Amino acid sequence: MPVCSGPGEESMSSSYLKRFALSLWCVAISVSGGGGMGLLPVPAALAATAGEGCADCHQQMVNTFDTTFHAKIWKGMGQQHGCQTCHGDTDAHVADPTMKNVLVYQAKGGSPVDELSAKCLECHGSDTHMAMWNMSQHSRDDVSCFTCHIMHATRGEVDQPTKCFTCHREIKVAVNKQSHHPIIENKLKCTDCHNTHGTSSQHMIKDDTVNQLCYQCHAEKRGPYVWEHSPVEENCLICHSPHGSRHGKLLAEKVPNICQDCHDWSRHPGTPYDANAAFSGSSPSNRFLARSCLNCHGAIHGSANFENQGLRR
Amino acid sequence: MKRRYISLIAAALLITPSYTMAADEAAVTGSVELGVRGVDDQDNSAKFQEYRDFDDGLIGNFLLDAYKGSNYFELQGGNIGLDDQDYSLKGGQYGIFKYRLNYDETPHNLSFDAKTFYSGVGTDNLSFSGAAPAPEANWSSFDYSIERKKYGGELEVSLGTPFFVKIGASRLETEGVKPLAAGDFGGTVEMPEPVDYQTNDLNLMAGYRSKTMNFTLSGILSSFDNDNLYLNWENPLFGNSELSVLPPENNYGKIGANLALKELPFMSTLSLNGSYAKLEGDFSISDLNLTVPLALNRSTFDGEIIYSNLAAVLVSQPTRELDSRLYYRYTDKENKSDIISYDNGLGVIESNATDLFDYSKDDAGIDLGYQLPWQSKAGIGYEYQYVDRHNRPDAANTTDDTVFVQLKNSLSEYVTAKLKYSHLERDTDTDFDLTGVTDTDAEYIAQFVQRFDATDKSKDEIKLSLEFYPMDTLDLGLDYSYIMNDYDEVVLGRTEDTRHQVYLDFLWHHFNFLNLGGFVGYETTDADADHYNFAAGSGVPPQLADPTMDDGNPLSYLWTQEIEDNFWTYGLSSQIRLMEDALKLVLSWEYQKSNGKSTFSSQSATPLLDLDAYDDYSKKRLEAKIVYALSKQLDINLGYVFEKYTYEDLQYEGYDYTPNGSTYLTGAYADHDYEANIGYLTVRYGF
Repeated sequence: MPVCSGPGEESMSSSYLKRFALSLWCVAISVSGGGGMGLLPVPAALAATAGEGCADCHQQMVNTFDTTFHAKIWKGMGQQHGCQTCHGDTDAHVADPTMKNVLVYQAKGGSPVDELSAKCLECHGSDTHMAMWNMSQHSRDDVSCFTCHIMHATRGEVDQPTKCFTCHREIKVAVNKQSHHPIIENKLKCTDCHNTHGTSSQHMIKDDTVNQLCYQCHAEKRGPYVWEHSPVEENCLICHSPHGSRHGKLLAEKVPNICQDCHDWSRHPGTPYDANAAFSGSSPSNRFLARSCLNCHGAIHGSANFENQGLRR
Repeated sequence: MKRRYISLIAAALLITPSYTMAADEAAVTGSVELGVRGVDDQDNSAKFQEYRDFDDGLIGNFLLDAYKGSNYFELQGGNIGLDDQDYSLKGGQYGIFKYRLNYDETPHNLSFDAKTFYSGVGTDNLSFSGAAPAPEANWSSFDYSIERKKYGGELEVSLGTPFFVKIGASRLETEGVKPLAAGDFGGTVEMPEPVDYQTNDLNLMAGYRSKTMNFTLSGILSSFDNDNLYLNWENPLFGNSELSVLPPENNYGKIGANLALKELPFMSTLSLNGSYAKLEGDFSISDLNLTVPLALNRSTFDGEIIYSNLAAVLVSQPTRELDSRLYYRYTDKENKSDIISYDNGLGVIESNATDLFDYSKDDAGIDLGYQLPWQSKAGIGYEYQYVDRHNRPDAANTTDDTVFVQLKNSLSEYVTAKLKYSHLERDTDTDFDLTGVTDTDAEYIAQFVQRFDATDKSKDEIKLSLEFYPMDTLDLGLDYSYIMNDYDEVVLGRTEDTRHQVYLDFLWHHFNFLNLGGFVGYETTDADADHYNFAAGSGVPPQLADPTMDDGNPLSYLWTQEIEDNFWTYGLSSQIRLMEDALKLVLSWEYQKSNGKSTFSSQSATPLLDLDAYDDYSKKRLEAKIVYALSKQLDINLGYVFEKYTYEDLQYEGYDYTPNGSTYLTGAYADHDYEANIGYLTVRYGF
């Protein structure tokens, strides 16, 4: 293991990268009091009890245990934990090494998910983001912590969106469509919009309403406008499919159809736009070609104009 | 103590250099990956680089984790130096404090090589010299592209107690040019709109957390600034100056409280949540450089919208077999913005009093789940939703009643199956005031138009989900859903839409040698709508705004439209270990195909031509990568990516910048197709 050493002490590593890392690291540690100066009492070094007896059968797991995220945290906090912390009493399992005698975190043949979740909540039950786990759709659908989190991972983060896609197949297909939020480009994560551990809102979104959530990134759509477009003000999802769409601009339906489904009126809103209205048609119409309705109604989300211009200026 | 707090903040922000070092051991791991990339994209399509920066040159990313005692530090960066670069730093001391700093750039390329006759692209003033636009050959080219830069940080302090305080701040800068169009009966003009936004957010949260109770108070302050409140442009159709108003500036504030009580009797958890938010935006007519209309009642607009939300959720498990969820949510959006009125020049007073939208929503429901024999679980539920709208006469209020039943079985170790059926019945009340309106007035039609988002309907939905584990090495999954909306009271508007969606995937691994995965998806949508073509009061006999009457004028007629969307996709990915711990081959292939069609029927004497290319596209992606490990720390990645995207749509086929004498376009979203080859070679060093 590399050592965070002081000037004049033995060189910690020949790697400049390590030196750089440790320099940054030591800045943080030194001003925050360092491991031994934290506000939590830090007992003596963690005894190496993890895996005693378990290594006979699970050698690889035991050998790599110290590199896991869990082990690093426990060690850092001076807490003594081993396999039994998560897998329960292993005596019966040692005597009868079947999966029935121990908590097993896997879908096929694993332990009941409520027991597994309860075990995790023994430590994580007070976390703020877990406050509504019991009422989450995930919990009610028998999703457990291990479904998304790898207990022996070296980092604590879930591999989004890949992990989410293993269950949400329709979303995987949606976000790969031609029009999508930049999720597959790793610019947006599922958890930017959803609290997967539960909320009191619908679809576990991270705000009280859909529009308030969307406005977090799209503040230019907030208004307040002088002239409004009522479905826009009620719910963005009336017109948009947030995960992805085969139509441009994440639209649930193509323009002009999505407009004409609501706007049947004298003259052009009620006019059928068929192939004749295309560039290649007999009578190209600027109400159909290219961006269709948006060729005139550019302020479709609302207008701050003092005069009513039909959301055109 | 004060010094300690200062130290904590300084550590979090890394602004105080220090070389004081402890003798304890620190665990440092990480990686650095550097290399070169070559990109062959002869089509120069913005679609290819929609959210990415794919250029020839150096590429790199890094990852750095350090743990020492109870302290941790995680630093990572990706796409260094490119327009889609991102960096994040997380750290802290377990149980005491944690912090996060992040910086992210995201491009949004809309269209490259657009063309315009205007000068001043990117500014709030678009003009051209002379009496008419220059010939198209002399137009200047530009890119429709937006760059978003977001940076911010967050600090949470709990000091090892159940109490915590969190503060976060971020800034989002959005710059670039996007398409805007304006038009009227005289024609339409597409033009570049300048985008120069800044959004500043401040988040505060404080609370208490324990195993039995969580309580949080939170607040948000957010301001949106726009450097261009309007766009002046010269109208080539009429030779006059015009002005388009751009997104207004606003301030948004929100406070909220959440209480969760756990371990209550009957294994219950109760959550109470409430929030209040205010959105404000004030501007004057002079701020927007607008001409003052006749009889304007006020020269300033004070916009104010109030959002109020309340939610209560109770989940219980009174017995091992039975679980329940009761919930109630209330949402209110109150629009307290100023009423603007003026004389439209024809002696008619126009006002936004009938335009400003409010709504409130009550939503209550109960779900019950019951464990049955043979590893089965049944669920039933009912939801009631009532929405009351102001200034939406076609849907003044709607009442939804939804029921669902669900059955899940995992008796077999190898299969988990879930089937769910839900039914929604929506009842809508209208509130039209058609006093004095006759069937030769356009407004008369309003009573016959029912809008799909809020009109009467019944909805049926069936979902089937299967997970198979036939072998230790093979996982299979299948989802099927059927959704049917029947807008049974509709005269004009969407009358029915039906969707079928099927998804299948698998994952198979063969010892430590091969991982193989694949997926297939198929979606089909069919939507029907009824419409009425008319020009109210015109002709002889006069055309009537009543689709249920025969006005005797052949120019008014009913027509219907059926839109079919078919989409399918599949993909395969594999990871092959050619030499254990030394040589790995990664191959993947993805394909998707979208096919849309619109067919018409009409009572007109002139038949309508179907649209057979309607958002049709195909997308292909192949990636091959070889990873060779020179040592445990050093590996080489050699990769190749092929991407091809073709788009066919009658709204863009044969694109013409001036398709008639009254339309000026710029080429927005017209540069779809691309075929690109990407090669890269990187060296990754792990430590």
